Amino acid sequence: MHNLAVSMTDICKSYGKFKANDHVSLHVRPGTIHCLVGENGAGKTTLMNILYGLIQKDYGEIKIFGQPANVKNPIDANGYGISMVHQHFKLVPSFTVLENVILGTSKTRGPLLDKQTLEPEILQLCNQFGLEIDLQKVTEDIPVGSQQRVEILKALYRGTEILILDEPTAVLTPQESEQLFITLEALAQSGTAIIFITHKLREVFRISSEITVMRGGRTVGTVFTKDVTDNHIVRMMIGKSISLSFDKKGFTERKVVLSLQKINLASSRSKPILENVSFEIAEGEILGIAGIEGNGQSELVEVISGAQKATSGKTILDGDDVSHFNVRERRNIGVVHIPEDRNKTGVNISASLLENMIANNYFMPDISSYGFISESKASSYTVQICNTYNVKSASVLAPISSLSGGNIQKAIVGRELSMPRRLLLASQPTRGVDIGSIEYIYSKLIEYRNNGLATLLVSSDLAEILTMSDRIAVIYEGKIVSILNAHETNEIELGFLMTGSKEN
Amino acid sequence: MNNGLRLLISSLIPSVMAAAGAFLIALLFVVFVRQDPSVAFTALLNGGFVGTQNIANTLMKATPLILTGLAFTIASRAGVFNVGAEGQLYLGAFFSTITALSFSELPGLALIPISILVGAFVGAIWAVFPTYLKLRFNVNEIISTIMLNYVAILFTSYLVNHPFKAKDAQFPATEMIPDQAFLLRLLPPSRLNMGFLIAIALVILLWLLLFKTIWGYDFRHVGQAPYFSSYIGISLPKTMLSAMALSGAIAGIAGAIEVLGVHHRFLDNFSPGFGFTGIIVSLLGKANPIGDLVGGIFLGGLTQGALMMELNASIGRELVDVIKAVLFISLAAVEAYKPIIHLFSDRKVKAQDA
Repeated sequence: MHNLAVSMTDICKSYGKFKANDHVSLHVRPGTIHCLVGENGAGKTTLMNILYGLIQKDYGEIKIFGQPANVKNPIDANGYGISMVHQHFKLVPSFTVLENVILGTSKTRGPLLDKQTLEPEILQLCNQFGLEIDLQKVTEDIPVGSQQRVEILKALYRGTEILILDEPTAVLTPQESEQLFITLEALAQSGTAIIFITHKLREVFRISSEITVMRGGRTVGTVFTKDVTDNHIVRMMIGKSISLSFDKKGFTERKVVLSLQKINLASSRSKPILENVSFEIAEGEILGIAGIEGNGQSELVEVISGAQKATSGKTILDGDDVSHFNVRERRNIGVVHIPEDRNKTGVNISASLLENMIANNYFMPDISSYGFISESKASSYTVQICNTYNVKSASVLAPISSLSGGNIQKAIVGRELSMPRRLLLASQPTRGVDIGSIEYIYSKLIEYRNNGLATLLVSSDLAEILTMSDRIAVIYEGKIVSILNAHETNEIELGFLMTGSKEN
Repeated sequence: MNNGLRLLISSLIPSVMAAAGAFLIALLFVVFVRQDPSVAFTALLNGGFVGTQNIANTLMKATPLILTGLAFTIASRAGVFNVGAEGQLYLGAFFSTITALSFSELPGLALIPISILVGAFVGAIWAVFPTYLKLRFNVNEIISTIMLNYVAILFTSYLVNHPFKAKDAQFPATEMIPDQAFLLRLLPPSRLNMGFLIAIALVILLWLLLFKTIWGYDFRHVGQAPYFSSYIGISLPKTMLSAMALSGAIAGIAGAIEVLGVHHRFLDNFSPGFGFTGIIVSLLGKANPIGDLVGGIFLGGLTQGALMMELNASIGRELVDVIKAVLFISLAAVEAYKPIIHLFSDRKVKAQDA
């Protein structure tokens, strides 16, 4: 057996000017569990998609067991013995477990599937690796943890030698995760190379023997797990960042605008999405929410904006209980919102700039009368936003899709801040936006903060959170684990809290 | 402006291509039965669009199609698909007839609007019901509206065959409605009537509603961008319910006009599928009320022309059904083009993962 199962050297992949992978290298030995860690957007998924043939590299070399490999698509990847368990499973929900496992393999008897001879074969695999699954159950009826075992079983059945798992524990309960680790250890012992993508440092130290850290599209380094501490890894993940500084006006009197009281949000899965979330935001304060994506931030914002009803708990705005208010009622009392998904939620991408700019007040007397929208009023209102917020567009009637991402984002910021406002919900306000627009958006957020606006800033960019916020709440698995003063903390501490490796 | 014109033209290309393709396939059929295509198509087009009486009959036949086209358009703009216009039309027609029969002492000026409004109201209720099921229980409205067509058609059929059958009628029909409830005939002997003008008025009203008012803003954005709509605070359920109510009301009006303007009584099975042809009209008209007017007149003209073709060129009027069917398939294919491509590439990825 060769001493390297996977050897990826100098991999490059760009999207336009953006370098998703910039001379990345990854070497994985057979029979080991190798963790790939890094912040959102560090390039981990891109690298794995290249290995699995879902996207093509621009440059670099891939060797599988010492042989140069040309992986053009997932079928090639399977041929090289590579399998991937995605975050969202690729199973046919209405098939039985057995049918899902053998799907696409060509073991048949005449035109029929040969289930009788296949079943014992698969059962034996299950026993060998401690996978407890009922092969006859319909896939959609079994719990998420079991569905994941089906994915792994599928990979084993295809003779996998290299198994990629993309954040496999994100959907699992702690017990299910532990069971998964036991299976993975058994697999590694039988010689399989396992690449495990995760954000959770606890898991990294629980199972891996080697760790590769990525940041900003580059490999920071590969280390043996036994040689390092979690502190070490957090530093590698976060790195140093440029800090912008702004003049923040101090407020002597603290006047609470938003108060969340024990917000709970249940889900259809066993784990709740939000658990006892409580905090306050005062006038002239930016509260940053730090956390790895998918820990309940999006839902938290939806609960405050009124798009989702909390299972229990109260939302108090300026002293009034608004828990039962819908989106428009909350907007009317001054909740404005920059949503995280610009093109899907922030705008109607198939409508004109004008129609998007009047979205908050087309039904109000400043734009319409007797139900008819006044084109001249709408048009001058749009021009006013574009001028104030520096939005560049050929005309107000141009389709909004003809604007650049930065201009669309500035248009959204302008539309929201042009309304009467008490509380701003800003979700990933600078994601995918050029540097110029980022600085502009930052300066506007600070300007409005200094004028007394209360702001909730959700961002996966720690530098952004640290620069902009007055206080920072760290969210992990739906719980606020800590609320800190922004000037009394740093990226390292936040990194620990976000990855759940320590609690304050 | 130049850009706007280009956009308009490019958006019309699918409709024109579909129409041309449909005629081409129809031509093959004509050749297949060894008839002269030039004779057939001249008869078809002359019969539909040349001569006062022919044009009047075309507009008479176009009236219900324009209305059912509008019905489909208004719902689909809000992202719901009303395939139940046929049933809404039958119920609207029936209850409008009963209203005209029950209040026969009223003057025409009161009786006509009341009868039409009752038809609209019943049509609206029949459309709101499946929408409620969609919102409350996630029942696909395409399936439920299709199935409710049969309920409505067979229910009115029962009513007109038994409890409401006219005493001396040889066939299932209600009594004649009183004279003052008749809609004015515009160009006798053609049965073209005031209903056509009502249809035109509704085209204009709905165009204004869709593109100039705050409610149209809600409809269009809910249909185009549901996530955006709920983010800015438009209630999706309310918008879908009102769009469907409006859609059903228009289909009900179509039924009422057929009774008050054309037949003057409710006849069993009087509709040759107006509700379904309305879907083709709306697809042809690119879900724009003005487009529905043009599409309705085009298909009305083909139906009228088919009669003339049968008389003059001895080619069955079913040829027009072939044209309609091909039209529908090609228009639906254009509409479905992108999702199908997506489905395909999705499948490919899944298959490769397996």
